[in-house]
Parts: sequence; C-alpha cells; structure tokens
Amino acid sequence: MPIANNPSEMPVKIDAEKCIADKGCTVCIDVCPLDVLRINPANGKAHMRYDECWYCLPCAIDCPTKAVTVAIPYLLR
Amino acid sequence: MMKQSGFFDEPQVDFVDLERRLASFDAAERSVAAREVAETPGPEAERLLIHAIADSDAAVRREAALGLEQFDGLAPAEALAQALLDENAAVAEAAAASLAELKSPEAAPPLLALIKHPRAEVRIAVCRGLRNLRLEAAFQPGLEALGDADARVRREAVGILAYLKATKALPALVKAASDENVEVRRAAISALAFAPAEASLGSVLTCLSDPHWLVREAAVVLAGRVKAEGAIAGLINSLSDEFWQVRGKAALALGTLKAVAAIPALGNLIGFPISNLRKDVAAALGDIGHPDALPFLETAAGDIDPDVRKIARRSIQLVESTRS
Amino acid sequence: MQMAEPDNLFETDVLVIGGGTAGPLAAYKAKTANPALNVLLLEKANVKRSGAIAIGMDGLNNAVVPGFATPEQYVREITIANDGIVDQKPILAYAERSFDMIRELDDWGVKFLKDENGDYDVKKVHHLGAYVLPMPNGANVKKILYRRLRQAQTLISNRFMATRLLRGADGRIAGAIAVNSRTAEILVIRAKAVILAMGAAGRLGLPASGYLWGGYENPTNCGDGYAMAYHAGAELSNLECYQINPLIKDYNGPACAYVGGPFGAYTANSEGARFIECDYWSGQMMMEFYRELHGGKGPVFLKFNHLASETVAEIENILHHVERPSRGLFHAGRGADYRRDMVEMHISEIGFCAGHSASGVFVDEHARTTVEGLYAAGDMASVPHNYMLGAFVNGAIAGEDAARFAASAPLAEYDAGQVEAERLRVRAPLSNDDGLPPNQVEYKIRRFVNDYLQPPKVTRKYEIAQQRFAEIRADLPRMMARDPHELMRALEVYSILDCADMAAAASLFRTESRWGLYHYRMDYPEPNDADWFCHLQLFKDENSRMACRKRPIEPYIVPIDATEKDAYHRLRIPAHA
Repeated sequence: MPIANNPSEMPVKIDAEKCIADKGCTVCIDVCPLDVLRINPANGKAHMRYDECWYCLPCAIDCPTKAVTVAIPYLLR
Repeated sequence: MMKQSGFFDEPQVDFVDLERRLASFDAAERSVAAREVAETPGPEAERLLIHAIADSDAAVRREAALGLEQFDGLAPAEALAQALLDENAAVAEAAAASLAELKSPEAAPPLLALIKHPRAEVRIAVCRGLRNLRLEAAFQPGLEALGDADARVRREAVGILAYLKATKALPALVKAASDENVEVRRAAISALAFAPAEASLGSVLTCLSDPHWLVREAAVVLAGRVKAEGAIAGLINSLSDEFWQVRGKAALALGTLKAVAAIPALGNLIGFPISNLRKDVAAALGDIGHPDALPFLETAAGDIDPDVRKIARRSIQLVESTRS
Repeated sequence: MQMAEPDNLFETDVLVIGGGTAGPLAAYKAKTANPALNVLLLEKANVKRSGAIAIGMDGLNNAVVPGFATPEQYVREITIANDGIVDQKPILAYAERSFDMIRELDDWGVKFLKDENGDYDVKKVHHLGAYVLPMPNGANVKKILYRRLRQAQTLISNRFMATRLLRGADGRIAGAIAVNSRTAEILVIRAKAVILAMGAAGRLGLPASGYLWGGYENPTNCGDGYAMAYHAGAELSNLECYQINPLIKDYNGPACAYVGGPFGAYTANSEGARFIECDYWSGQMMMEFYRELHGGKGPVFLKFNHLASETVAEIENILHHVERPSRGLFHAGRGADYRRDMVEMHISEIGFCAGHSASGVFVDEHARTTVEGLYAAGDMASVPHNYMLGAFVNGAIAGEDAARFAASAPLAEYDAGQVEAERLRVRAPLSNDDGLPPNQVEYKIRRFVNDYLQPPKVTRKYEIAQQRFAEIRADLPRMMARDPHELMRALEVYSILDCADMAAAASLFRTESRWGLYHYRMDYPEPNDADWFCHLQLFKDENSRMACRKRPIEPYIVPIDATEKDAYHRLRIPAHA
C-alpha cells in the first residue's frame, strides 16, 4: 500500500545565517530529547526533520548563536 | 575482547585535537571546541578554558567563561575576574554567573581585589561571589559595600553579611533595613532572622510602616519567625494594612506568637472578600488556641471556600485540644 | 535491509538503562561505590538533555528537611495520601536520605531556594507538613548530572534504545538488547546487574489536542521500561492507580499547586472560587477536579489575578523559565496575562507513573525488583509519590545495591534464542516495504485508550478495549519503518500497546474503587477494604499470559493512629455552607 505524506507545519525553525553546524556544532541535534533535528545535507545547517516536537526548548536555549526558534505546534496554539 | 569501539561516548577526551581546534583560524570552530571543553571535567580542560577565556572572539570567551563554572579555586577565579571586566557584556555576564558558583576560600583574593571597581556590575558580581564563600575576610569589605552608591551593590552586600550570620554584622544590617532602596530594605529585614528578637525589634517596628508593602510583609514575617513579643501591637495594626498579603502574614505571625489580644481584630477579617486572607486568619486563630476564637472559627467552618473550611476545622480542633 | 553482520556484544558489570533523572544517579553511585566496576549508562536520546527533567525542574515537592518535616511524618502522609496501599519501607528509605541528597546536589551546583541567610527556604503547601523547596534556577540540573557522570568515568552510550532484557538460565538478569536510533545497529549487552530507569509511561492516553507529542510526560517516556520489566518476568504493582494530572488547557504545563500555591495562587472554578477539598495531590484531588470540570461550575481555572503584580512577576519568572519554558510563549500566543485572566485548565491524558501516583514496577527498599539482579528506580519504580527527588534518591539506592550485587555475581549465561527472537522483532519494520506507519498505529491505540480506559472506568468498555488492543496487536508485524528513527517509533508502539493491555488487565482485576479518579470503577463505586486492602501485582504467567494477583500490604513500620487518619479525613469532609 502506498504511503501518503500529510503536511504539517514544523514548529522548529533554524536561521541558516546564524547556524554554525557547518563548523562542527551539533548542540541542538544532541539536546533534542525527541531526536527530530538533523544536519541538512543541502547546506550543512541544522533543520527539523520529524514533526515530533515536545516544544521543550533545549534546542533554542542551548544554541550558542541563538539560531533556533520554536513555535508552539499549531494544534495546541 | 568484545567489539565496543564506536558505541560509547569516550570518557577519555582527545585533548590534542581539542587544543588544535581551539587554535583554529575560524572563530566559530573555536567556540564549538570551547563548548566541548566546557563539558569535560579535569585539570586539562580547566587549563584550556583559562586559555580560551582570553580569545580574540567574544563567543569563544563566553563559552570559556560559562564552562569555568565547574571549576573552583584561585586559577579559575582569576580568569573569571578578568572576564568580568570584558568589554563584551555577554562575556561579563557569563563570568558573573560562573563566579557565583565558586565555593572555596582560595577563590576569594581576585574577588576582593575588584570590590571597589568603578563598574557597578563588577561590584555586584563580586559581592554575589563572596556571599557564597561565607568568608570572614569578606566581612569588612562587605560592610563597606553597604555604603555603595549603587543600590544593587548594597543589596548584594547585605548577602555577604547575612550569610556570615555574625553578631557583629547586626548594626550594619539594622541600618540597611532603613536604606532608601526597597530591595535593600527587604533583604536586610529578612536577613535579621538569625538574630534574637531583641536585636531586630527596632527594625521590625520601623519596617511595619514602610512605604512599600513587600518590606512590610518581610517585617511581619520576621516578627513571627523570631517570635518578637514586642511587635504584637504593631502586628495587630498590620491587620488593617492596605495590602491583604501583609494582613495575612501578620495574622500568621500573631498565631505563632499566640497573641490572644489579636483575636478580635482577626475575627473582623473572617468575612474578608479574598479567601487567601480568610484562610490565614483561620489558621492564626487556631494557633493562638484560645476559646474566644471559637465563634469566628465556627463562621469560618461554613465558608464557601474549602481551604478556609479545612483550616477552620483544624483550628477548632486545636483550640479544643488546648482547652482540655 | 536485513543486516548480515553478527550482533555487537558488550560486557559490563552494571548496566543502567535510561539517562534521565534516576539513571544518572544510579550510574554515578554505582561507579563511585566501586570504581573497579564497569558501569554503562544507556540512553535512547542524549544524556545531556533527556528524560522528564530535560529542561530542568522548578522545585522539589517532597523535600524532607530537618526543622520542617521528619521522615516518619512524611511516611505517614504518603501512606494516607495513597489510601493506605503502600509498602512503607521504601518510602522511609527515601525519606531518610532525602536531605542528604539535597545537600549533595547543592554541593554539585544544583540551585535550591535559600533565604537571606543562605538556609533552605522550604514552603508549606499542604496543611500538615512543609515539603516544597523551590528551584528558581533549576534549569541546569541535567548539565550538572552530565558532568558528574563524566567525572566518575561512567561509560555513556547515547542513541541506544533498549528493547528487551535478557534472562539467564538460572533466572538471574543477564543483560539487555538495544538498537541504535540512528543506524539500526543491534547491541547485545551482558551485565551482572541491570537498573531500569526509563521513566513514566506517558504516551498512553492521547492529549485532548490530538497531537501525539503534546502529552504531560516527555514523549520518549513511553513505557519501554514497564514493557521490558513485564516481558522479563518482573512483577508490576498497582498499575490501575493511573497518573492523571491537572494541566493548562491545550498546553502540557502543570498547574500551580507547588509553584503558585506558596504565593497564593489556586485552582478555581468558573466563579473564581476554590473547590478542592483534598489536601494532597492525589487521586482524590483529581476526582474533585474532574467533577468540577464536568459540572455546572466548570471549566476549571488557574487563578493568579488576585495577587499583586510583583508576586505574579515572581511566579512567571519560575513558571516561564524552568521545567516548561515554552509556557510563556503559549500564553503570549493567546494574549493571556496572569495579572488579568484566569487560565483555563484541563485534565491530562492517563499514564503510569509512580512519581505522581503509585503505578510502577515493583521494588523493595533496596530498589530490587522480583528478578534477581534487576533493579528499577525513578518514575517507573513502585515507590509512590516519589517525584524528582525520589528518582535521585532511589536511583542512588539502586546504584549502590547493584554495585554490591555485581561485585560478587558472575555474568549469567543466557539462551541465544532470546537474542535471535528479539533481533527478528526489532528488524521487522525495516524489512516491510509497505504497511502501517507507526504514528497511525500509535494514534489508534491511544485514541482507544481515551475512549475506553480513561476513568471513570466501566467494565464493558474495558472488555471492548481489550478486544481492540488484541486486534491491533495482530497488526503490529505490518508496521513499517523507512529509517532507524521510524524504527525507534515503531518499537515504542509495542511498549505503548503493552502498557495499554496492562492498564486494562490491572483495572479489571481490582473490583472496587480506590485512589479517587485514578481507579474509579462505576460498577464498583465504593472502596472495599475487606477484599481489596492490598496491592495488585501484574505479571507474565508460566503460559506467557498476563496475570494478576493480590499481594498483602507489608506491616506498617510507621503506625498511623486513628486520630491522625481522622485529622486528615476531617480536613477532607466537605462541609458546604
């Protein structure tokens, strides 16, 4: 059976200008308890890959360059 | 032996690699490395952070200052004291936070050296750091800092003296309780809790009519904590404070003091619109433990608020048990 | 995607599974008790930020600090709060070490609220004792634990999800099997002692928002530990005593009892009036909450707007920065201001969590389960109302006892068939090129949990639930995973379904009502002390079927005299004006 892709708004946004993942930083990826962040192979910066956000904010708080913003997922907002 | 490489976050850190990355031409790479060092225990990490705190890039210096929070003693204290003077506010802020984590007396000299620094933020951080050391050597400097022009410094200076709990600090704390700044007064009056009631009574009575409710609240709380018999009349007066928060704390203090004379005034508040206060009044009437309170408590036992009812029932029980 | 290479094998003395709160303490204490031992801490996320306190904690709810409360007093209150169904020894073991643990954490740099003289500023929330110690700067707990672990040279392995325990031929624990959530590699770990510290089963009920990840608990705490203990043959206690919490409507932040309470905030009905009779956070309190929520004076609100602006600022400073730092963001999105508005509240989804109720893997006062060499600590262990400090203390107890045990026990020999069977189960979703996405299966299970298991409990509904769960169980082999991350989610679905089954079985077995809303059975609405003043043990029987039995209450070591019970109940009797 084919698998459908249901779109949903990603709560975590990462400012590629500020992100220093390409310099070896993996802070947000390490600290996400849900493990939903990855390096985007297209630009070497971090991005959200899975819509499984607990909006707990370590990614935003621990980011050394303040590149991460988290919105409350729309269903709860 | 079992295959295991690659599975475990290696506890043996590659310091050679870290040091190499800390010397990178790319500032972002250096800050990433500094953060990694900051998560690493041991003297080697301490050395690298002390080195990195003098980096040309502010982000690296900040990471180093944050990371030094886990180390104690003279060397990190010196490095942090230097970073406290950093032109970059984020670095100085990080250094201030880490200075507050110091615990050993060896860390004191660089802090003491800065206690008269022209920048108030520096003096504040230094006082905060010294407070936690609970050091006799900080007494005199703390005393002098109480005369600082900046109220935020005076507020931290209260902490230095109050943490020492030394009798000889009492006159200074009493004086600080009538400081022109509300936060200083609030801190100072609360800090008198370690002293016997007689020592703080004058301050309590003055602060009971302080212009700011938070100071008045702190004063009534202190009167209860140190069981200041001499404050009873003042506390009864506080039962008609414009802030119900102060009235409630005054009621509880009168309960602790078992002030039978307060029963009529407390009884007057049993119909007050804010239930938090009714609850405190019901508790106080029970703590006083005198049968005169029973009619008021019977009323409170039928309150619309369940917390008031609960406390009233407990208080009725208390009164009845002291009676028998 | 079948992997041809042999499974990786690793041997250790003590294996700790779960790097949240209890786990790091267990690993640290095991290693420092006996530095010669190899101690391995396994975590499916990353120890730096994982578990229930990933982002910190705003206070201790159960600090037993000399001058404010005694261990005996604490034991009495927990006994009464849990309707008498407790083993007091583990509660006392916790209470006696509570203060030392606070001081040790303080020494490590964890911040507790202190008064102007630098002494602990314990707050009184309940009417009978003072146990609340706020942590206004409690955001750094995990960072501090992480440093301690590294200092002690504990082996840490992140991104490994344990899936099953191994039992030795002699019945002892033999180790565990784990799978990597980034690579799907399988790791077999042999260990002399294993400590489970895997948190609550928080992904059981579905939050009212319908968002799978919007639950009260950190969603990684999905009941893996409960499921693994069950499959390994350990007994579980009082699972029918669910965790249900009062939360902000649509947001998973807890309410004000422990944070706002000392400042004068409270839970109110739509008239702005208090309505809760019960004195302690318990099932009874939740029952009152539930009734008001669904009664004519509902919904229920968090009330701050009678407080002074300075006080609200102080509360916000804690609530919006520690434990749930996105709370301020949520309120801002709806334009809510504590100074002006009461904040609507709701009831959480159900879960297992001894940290808040009593549902856990059975442990004694040494944190030992019924399987030799297997320990449990933290939210998943059966010590009731244990909270964060209990996780630290019982983690420490487990670590020290496990270190003693491991020093003298050899590795247990186990049957390779266990590994092979588990390898096949774990790998199956990767081999399915099409089938059921794990999130859909999970949604369906959790919707049925809400439809049928959420209290009030009705026998017929529970029987239907069991039928539905059995149907879904037959679907599980059809789950598919496109990458190792989805594989982790698929395996979590197994745990969720196991927990749903356990919740149903335990609830049906106890044919009475107890613990207020937690176990309110409409067809047995009254407590029945004659038949049910006992624990309920759930276990896998010799035919591999789920079974339950009664277990007597251990004789109290801190007697509860009648007047004390009376005093408490008098506080509870509703006496409306």
